[in-house]
Amino acid sequence: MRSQTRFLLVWAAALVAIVALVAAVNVVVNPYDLFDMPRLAGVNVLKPAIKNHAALTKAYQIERARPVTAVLGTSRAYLGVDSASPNWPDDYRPVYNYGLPGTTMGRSLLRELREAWSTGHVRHAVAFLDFPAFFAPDPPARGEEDELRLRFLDDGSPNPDPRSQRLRDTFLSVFTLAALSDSVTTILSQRGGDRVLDLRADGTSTDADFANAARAEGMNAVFSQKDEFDLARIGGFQRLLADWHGPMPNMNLIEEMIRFCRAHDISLTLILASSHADALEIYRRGGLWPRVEQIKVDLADLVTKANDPSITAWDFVEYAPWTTEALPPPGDRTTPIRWFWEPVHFKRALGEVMLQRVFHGMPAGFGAKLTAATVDARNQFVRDQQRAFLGWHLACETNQEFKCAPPAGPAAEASR
Amino acid sequence: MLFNSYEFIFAFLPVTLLGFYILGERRRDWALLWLTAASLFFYAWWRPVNVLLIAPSILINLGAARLLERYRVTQPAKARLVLICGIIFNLCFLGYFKYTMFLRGAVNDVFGTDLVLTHIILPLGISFITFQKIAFLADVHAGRVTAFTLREYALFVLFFPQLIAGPIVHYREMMPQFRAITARFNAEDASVGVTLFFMGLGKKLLFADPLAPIVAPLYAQAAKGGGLGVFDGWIAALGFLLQVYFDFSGYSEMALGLARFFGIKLPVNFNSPLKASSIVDYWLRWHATLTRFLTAYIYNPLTLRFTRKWMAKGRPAPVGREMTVSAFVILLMIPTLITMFISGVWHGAGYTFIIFGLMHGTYICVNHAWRQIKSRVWAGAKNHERAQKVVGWFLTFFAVVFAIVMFRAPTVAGAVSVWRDMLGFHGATLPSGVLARLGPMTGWLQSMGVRPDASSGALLMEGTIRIAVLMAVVLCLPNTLEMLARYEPALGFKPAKQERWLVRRAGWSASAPWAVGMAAVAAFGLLSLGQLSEFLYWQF
Repeated sequence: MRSQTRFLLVWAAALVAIVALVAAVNVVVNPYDLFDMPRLAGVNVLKPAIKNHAALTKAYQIERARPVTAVLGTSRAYLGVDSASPNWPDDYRPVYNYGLPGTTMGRSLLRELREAWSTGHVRHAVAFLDFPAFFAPDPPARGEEDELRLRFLDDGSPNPDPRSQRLRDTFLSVFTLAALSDSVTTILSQRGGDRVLDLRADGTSTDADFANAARAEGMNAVFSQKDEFDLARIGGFQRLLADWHGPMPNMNLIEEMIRFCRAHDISLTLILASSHADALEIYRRGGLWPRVEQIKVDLADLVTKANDPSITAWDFVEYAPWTTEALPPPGDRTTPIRWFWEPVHFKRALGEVMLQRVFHGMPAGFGAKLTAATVDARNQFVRDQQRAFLGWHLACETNQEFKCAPPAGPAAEASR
Repeated sequence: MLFNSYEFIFAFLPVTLLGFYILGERRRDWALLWLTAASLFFYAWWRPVNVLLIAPSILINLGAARLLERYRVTQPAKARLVLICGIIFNLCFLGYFKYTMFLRGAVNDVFGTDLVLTHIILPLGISFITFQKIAFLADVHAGRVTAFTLREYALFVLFFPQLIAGPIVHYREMMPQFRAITARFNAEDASVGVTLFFMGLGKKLLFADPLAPIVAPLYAQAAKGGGLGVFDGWIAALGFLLQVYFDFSGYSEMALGLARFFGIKLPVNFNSPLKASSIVDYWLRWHATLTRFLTAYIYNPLTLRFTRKWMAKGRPAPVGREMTVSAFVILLMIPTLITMFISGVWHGAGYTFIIFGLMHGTYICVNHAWRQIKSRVWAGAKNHERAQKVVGWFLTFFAVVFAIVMFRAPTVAGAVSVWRDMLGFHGATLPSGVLARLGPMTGWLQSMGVRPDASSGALLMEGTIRIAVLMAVVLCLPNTLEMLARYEPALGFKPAKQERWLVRRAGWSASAPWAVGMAAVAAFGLLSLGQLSEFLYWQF
């Protein structure tokens, strides 16, 4: 019986020791960047575990970052916008990229805006909008963890008890096997270099996942996978929009953002982000191009109605050299393309071009400011671009597949 | 309250044990009363209204048992009537909560009616509790249980380690133990209990639960009519088999461990069923107490009744190998199919569960038929035994794999779709990311007709690795009961006369290395509690 008692004592002591050790590792490695701990070389400089926990991480990071400018959006902004870009005007710095992957625009934009404002320093908001997100309203999501830890609930009311969820966040980040597994992965990944996904303290992500997929499968395959996804949902959009009248779905969200920014003295820059012509063509062929134009009209109307110079809208949905870059043929895993990871996720290089255009007016041939006075001309301009583009790609159009090279001129211009 | 929840492990269990031991130091009765009250609290935790449902049912069953006790010897006809009424009451009680919606749906399906399908919330563990109560009445009627009180009966029904998902216990095997326990702390019971409980927790959280996110989307996709392809089809089938295996194995060991804290040994319920080399052997290892119940209270009475009728017609007694085909069908096949039909329906109200039960019934019939004819077609018992171990295992395993698809799929069409996937009717696809990374295999696979698709390569890889590792654990390692055999981890479970080498080497002892090892298992289990998940068998 004495040996049984000794067994229980050793068991209890070892249990406490193991749990304490796990907690210590998780706090030091800090795989989700939840705590204000240093990043140690060889231990946790890169944070690959954030991949599936970006909403958790960013809710804490933004408080520590105390940004003046918040970048808002979904995975497009998350992947394609650099908070440390030299193209940000001085009075916009510091910038925090609050773009969240794995979410929809309708669910994330207002949530991000309110949370960014609640940190107390934000004076500018730059929102990257996805045009397909205006084809269907997002269903409301309430009561989920990602909302409960924030200072505002999705209906705009202050969250009465963010502390409970935050305590839960802390507990789960320290006392779980999943966190330990992520800590170990973090440590083992430190030598992976640019193949390892990371999230900097300013919210800027590396694009390792897409880069790895492109290396393994080739750009053509990566584009094709996204095309399949888009093609699968286009029927739903067509059915919904067949009887849709009035402003496009989710436009009320933009209206709410404008109201919020004006009420809190925040400048708002709305950027209808670039998609590759591969994606544009799917929607055009699906008969949705008039709706794409309506999105621009609605945005222009909202901005014009606001009558506030600090509220602006920009359109980069067009057939410019930056968006018509040719794809390598199927099976080619070595040739990269410069501006996109797949049809809707633009690379940081194109993010830079868009920021440069918005804040410094260059390159003048790409993107345009939307107002009620200019939007019709803008739509006509893109229609002309589209016509010219189809002329170049007649053969591809006949084959119902866009995977061809654009003519040399514009491509060369874009590659400058 | 789930066994794998913070509130159970860090609040309910320590408080219940502390109260039990402290009261046990003074009076044993008080400790048992405390245990009954704690069990009632445990049952009420999820939905307090459950108590209002189960309490009258306990009182009615106790009343029926008292009448049975009174009439059993003096007025057997009356006793029989009371028994039938008691069984009908329990079946109606179960039927109302569990099968009303299914029956209404079935009537709508068959007759095209439009009966309203109101969802009735199922009281926890009702299937297990009902069977236990029926067994109790049958035992009283048969004179196997002769003395009982309200307190004892309430403790028998409510004892929380086996309340929700079994094992299905008999009054006659539990009460002698409750009457004999000292209700004081016992280091051996505690250390065996700790080992059983945390081994079970580890199986549930570390082995079973991670399979759920791999398996669930596959069945959802199949139910929508989407073909999975041959690889995902097998991952869906094997993945769920291992998920439910470790879920139920884990639960059963946790139940054994919890009961052992109180000095009680529950019967064996789960004993490496995937090592079985025949389907009959499989059912003696998987949910053994359910098999025991079904055999004792359904199969045997049916067989007895049919045999009496058979012999009343002047036919020869069906003995061993001389059994005729008609005797086999009437005396063996029909009772088996009825019993396994009931087993299927017991598991769930749905066509898929009925088919699952009938599939296993058919398997058992085939197994019995083989036993009848094997001596005629296969001479040499030794030779046969050796071959059956291998061939029998393969046949049993794949029969079980195919049947479990029906058990898991939300619809019959969904299950058929997964079967078609497994048999290659929907072709073979691999995630393009995986196919691209297979080097020289890529071209060969494509030439064999394997096509790329846009599904998740990470999930496929994770599923494949987990299934491979868990299959090795299932087939190669001794189970927890074998490791603890010297300490009788379950009622009547003793070491085998000839223990395998690995069992001898891996046998549990109260040593420091085992303590540290079990602490690691416990720590990893406790650190996995963050994501709560219900036990699959709790829904029955």
